[in-house]
Amino acid sequence: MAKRKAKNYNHHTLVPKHEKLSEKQKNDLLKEFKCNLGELPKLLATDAAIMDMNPKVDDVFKIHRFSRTEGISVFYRVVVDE
Amino acid sequence: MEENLPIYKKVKAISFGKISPKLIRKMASVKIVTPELYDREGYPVDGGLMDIRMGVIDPGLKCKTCGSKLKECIGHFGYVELARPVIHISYAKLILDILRKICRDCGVVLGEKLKPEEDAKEKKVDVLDAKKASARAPKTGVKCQSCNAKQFKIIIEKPTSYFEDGKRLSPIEVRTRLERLRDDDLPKLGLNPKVFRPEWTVLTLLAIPPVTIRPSITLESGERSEDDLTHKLGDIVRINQRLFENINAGAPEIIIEDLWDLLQYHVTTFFDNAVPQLPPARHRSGQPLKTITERIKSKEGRIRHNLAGKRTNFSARTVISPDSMLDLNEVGIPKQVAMKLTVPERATKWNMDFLKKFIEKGPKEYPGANYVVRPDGRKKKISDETKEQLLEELQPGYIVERHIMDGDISIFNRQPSLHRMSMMCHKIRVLPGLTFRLNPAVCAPYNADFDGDEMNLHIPQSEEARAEAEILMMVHTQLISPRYGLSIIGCNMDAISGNYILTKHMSIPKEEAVQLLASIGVDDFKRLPDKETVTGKEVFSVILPEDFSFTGKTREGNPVKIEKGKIKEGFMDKANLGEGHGLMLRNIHKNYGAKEALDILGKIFRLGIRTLQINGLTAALSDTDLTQKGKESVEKILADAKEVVNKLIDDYHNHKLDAFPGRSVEETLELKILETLNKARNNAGKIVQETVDKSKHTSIIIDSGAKGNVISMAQMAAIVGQQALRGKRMEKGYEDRTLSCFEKNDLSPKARGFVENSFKKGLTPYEFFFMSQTGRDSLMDTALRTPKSGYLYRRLANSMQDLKVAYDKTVRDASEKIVQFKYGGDGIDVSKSEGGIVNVKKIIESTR
Repeated sequence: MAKRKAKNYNHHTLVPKHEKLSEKQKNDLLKEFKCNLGELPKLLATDAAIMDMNPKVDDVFKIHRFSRTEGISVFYRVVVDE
Repeated sequence: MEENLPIYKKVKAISFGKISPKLIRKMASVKIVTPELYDREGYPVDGGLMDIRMGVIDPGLKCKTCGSKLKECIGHFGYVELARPVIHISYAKLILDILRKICRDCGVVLGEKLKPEEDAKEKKVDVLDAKKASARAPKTGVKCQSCNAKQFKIIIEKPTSYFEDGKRLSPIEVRTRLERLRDDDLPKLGLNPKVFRPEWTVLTLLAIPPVTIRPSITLESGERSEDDLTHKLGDIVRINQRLFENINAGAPEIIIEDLWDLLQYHVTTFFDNAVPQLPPARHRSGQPLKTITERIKSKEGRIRHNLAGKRTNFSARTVISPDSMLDLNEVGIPKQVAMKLTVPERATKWNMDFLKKFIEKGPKEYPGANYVVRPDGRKKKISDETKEQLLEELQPGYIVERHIMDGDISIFNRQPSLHRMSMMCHKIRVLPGLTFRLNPAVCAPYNADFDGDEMNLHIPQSEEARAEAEILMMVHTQLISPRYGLSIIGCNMDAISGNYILTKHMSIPKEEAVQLLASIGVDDFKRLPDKETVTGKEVFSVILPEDFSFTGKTREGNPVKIEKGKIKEGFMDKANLGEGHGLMLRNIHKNYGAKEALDILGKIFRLGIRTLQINGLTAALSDTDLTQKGKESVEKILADAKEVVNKLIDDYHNHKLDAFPGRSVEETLELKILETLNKARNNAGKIVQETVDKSKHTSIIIDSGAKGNVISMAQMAAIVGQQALRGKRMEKGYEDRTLSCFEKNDLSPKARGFVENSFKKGLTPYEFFFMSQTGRDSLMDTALRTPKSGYLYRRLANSMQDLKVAYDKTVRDASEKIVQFKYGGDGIDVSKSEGGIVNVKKIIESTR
């Protein structure tokens, strides 16, 4: 597939907010859940929601999305390349 | 003890390869040269397919390769040297792909750009899988980039013949081409040269499986019947020998080719007897042979039937029937079953006399015992002859397998086992009769009814298993559904209407109340007020815990108040007692524990049923009678609706009807008509609800929530209503009309499936026909949907089967990968909530 031009999809109402974690936040997260990067849910580097945020492999994104059980729910995903 | 510690390892990769001719020869213990199986004495022929060097299947014989006897020797492979190579059917597609991808002369992978040496080394090897390779198959006219040879189009004539430019490629040629491929080039084709050389897919040697995987069976007549695989192998060896002889005798090429093709056919069907283009090899009786692929494949194959499928001993299955006098955690079993299923009980010096009684009775008298197991593990059947001796022999350490008795632990199950409540632990009650008996209240978790349902019963055989079943699987531990946090077991049907009548209307002499309570298993009547007559509420209150307080609502929203174990206000109905509702039950469970809740539930259930046995409950025809006034208003509603519809239809014909946005005029008309008619039916329903006699039994059944709803009442009393097929009024049938008794393009209600009569009044023939249409449609729908949703559920359950909630409330899979950061997003354990909600206010109040 031809590489599409990076476009900011992050402001669309249907795209939950994605936020890149800093190195420190990332380490805190891994400590909190006592896990390594391989155990986190994955996110493709080519995902439209993060295309404009210059994602690199092993970056962790914090996703704020709406959930019927808890209002705004927080989810984390690690960028993979495949 | 360090060496006993478990070692955890992760499987990183599994590689599959193809067995090489070299390995076939190396692992084989025999070369098969003759299709004969046995000599005249019935002894396996040397070099035949049943050669005893490939393992033994007869008792008494010893394997010539390993020297072990039957069952000890696992069997050894043999091999056949094929006179001419043949294609392995499973690789036919791969061979085609490779042939197309490589040069016909030099074997180099086509289409690669020639680059200087150093470039080729640096370049990452592009691994192509076979599919990609075939997609890029070069066309005729392409030239090899290395030797400049012209390439031709290669096609396959299924299953196993290859043609290049119209000329057939024999397997020999195919093999030589594949041999030319260099090891270095294999990764480009997605192959691993260490375990897979392409020429191995053209067989020169055929491995003969050991006799132990194709045992022959001796028929009653003394004749031997060989396994399907042996038959097939016999064909292969026979043809192979003939081919050898013909080649050596210098027979004409045509004969050799014919035999070669025949050999190819036999080898192909040996691997797979369901190749689309080939007629399946058959027995003399005409039934197809089951060869290797058929042995493994599909539901009856080795994997799904033998490896994934399990069978159990100590289990029973029979029809179920109800018995509301059983406790909820009991199961009634027939004596016949009780005398077949056993519990192993170890003899100690304390229970010797107890166990001896069972042995004395033996297997034919209940409660007896079937077997005695000696400490060395030898099992002895108890019979009239062995009884005396076993009685004498019995000493501590022996195990007696005694019949199951009242109070023993069992696991009861109904398929499909969709959730954990589909298997629960019940205590045995041995009863006369031939069916399993269960309390109708536990039908809900099993989704059982008594129209012929069968259920399974298992008897745990070890102390640990029994303890586990009792602690984790007992019915009372399963009371609260983990799906919605309410009692899944509750009252249904008669138990609801009975308690409704009791707590709403009834008052009975105290004597009768005592009898009523005694009959449901209550023996403490202190809490019954000392009056001549007592009300139903007071009777019901006796089974509630003495300090129980609860406020809730009835189905209609009226308040229910229970204070200090007494109903102060309101009455019982489905909202408080029903399965999947039962907030009162939920509160009892929370405050008094599962066991108490189950006990109370059983009593409430029996109380309801018993009340109906005293009071009576029936549905009379007159229950659905309307008053004269009611009748008139229903008729008026109907007439009004008809008028409105006629007006709409007129407007439509006169082009005066305005379309809804995004709809055509026809659609608008349909929507408006549907709306009008539905409104009419609903209004009629309201009239029925208002005018019908509330004290009549049909009304009681509906109002208590035991069965039925207001609509079904309205359908009986006033109007059945519009029949809809796929969300529309009836339209299919004849040209432009539903039935031939209507005019073409008649849009009136009655011509489009509006049933204006009630069930009691009776339907006109065309109304009856419309109802049959919708009835058939919904029948089809359920019949088609059930297997679909079942498979959907199976996939879901399998994909989530080993997810678990870790101590930090994250949901993780078996390899500790995080699936959810907080269970369910909110971390609530539904089975500890009330209907999925944690009522904080209530908790605070209760701690005060």
